Amino acid sequence: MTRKYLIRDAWALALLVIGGSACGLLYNRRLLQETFFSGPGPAAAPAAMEEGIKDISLAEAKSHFDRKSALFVDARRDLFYRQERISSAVCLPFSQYEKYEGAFEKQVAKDTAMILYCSGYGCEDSHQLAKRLQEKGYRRMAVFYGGFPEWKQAGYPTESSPAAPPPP
Amino acid sequence: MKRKNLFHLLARIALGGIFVVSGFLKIPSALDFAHNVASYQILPHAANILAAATLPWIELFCGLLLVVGYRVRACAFFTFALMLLFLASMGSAIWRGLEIDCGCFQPGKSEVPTPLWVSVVRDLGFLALSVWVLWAYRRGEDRLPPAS
Repeated sequence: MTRKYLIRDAWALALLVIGGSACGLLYNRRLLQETFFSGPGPAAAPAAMEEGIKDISLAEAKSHFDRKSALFVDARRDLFYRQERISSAVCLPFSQYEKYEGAFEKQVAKDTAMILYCSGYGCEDSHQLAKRLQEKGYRRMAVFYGGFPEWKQAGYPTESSPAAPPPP
Repeated sequence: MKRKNLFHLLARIALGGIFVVSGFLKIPSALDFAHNVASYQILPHAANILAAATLPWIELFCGLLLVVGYRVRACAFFTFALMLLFLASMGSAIWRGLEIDCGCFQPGKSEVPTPLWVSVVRDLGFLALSVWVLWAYRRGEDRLPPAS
């Protein structure tokens, strides 16, 4: 390949990446704004509401677990809930919220202290679920940010049920 | 057109089509795709969102250019590099025992996740296709018909 083509192809590659990224950034500007700048504006309203929800560590989660002082809520899909979950956790997947919200709201009082978790690390489902529950009137919530992987790795109690997930 | 060139053309259009579809399906649901990216537990949260916002668009443009046959070599190289990246990510996910969905075509939608090894086999196929196109268009003007 001649040098001319090499340079031309490098330019094409750079333009492809830059152009594609620019379109993507423009198209998702709202989402990115919420992620990187939770500044003023209509998009920031949910973020401000989230202030009451705090992130807790593995140690704090375990301490609540031992004292049975909070209800554990699994925000992952029910498939994963059935496979394995934190012992005594209830199933309320963020991505299947409509399927479970009825049973959940019927059986869990608004002033129940809850610890929400999902798959840890970059998983945002538990935070999103917390926002939604807050809109529904639930107030006492914490997000266990390490989520199921951290719990499992620590060797803390888990359970599983191959059958249909029980309502809370 | 020579038969060999016809096959090169079909390979190029198939590769482009795959990327157009994959990009097009992911563009409307960047947040879902971000969850898929996050489930690999490789990037920090903000980078997951950034990747999910930009990657589908780059895939779409890359696929379109491949289909129309403009700057084929550069685009084929991009698909090749991307496949290597995807395969490495999936390999590392399998290595770490993560039971996650590939998120390659249907971000966050699948009830039962496709096993990762299925995605790996599929991506190996795509990798082979990209190598084929890259080889077919390796010389000179990478326009229609391919240099033979």
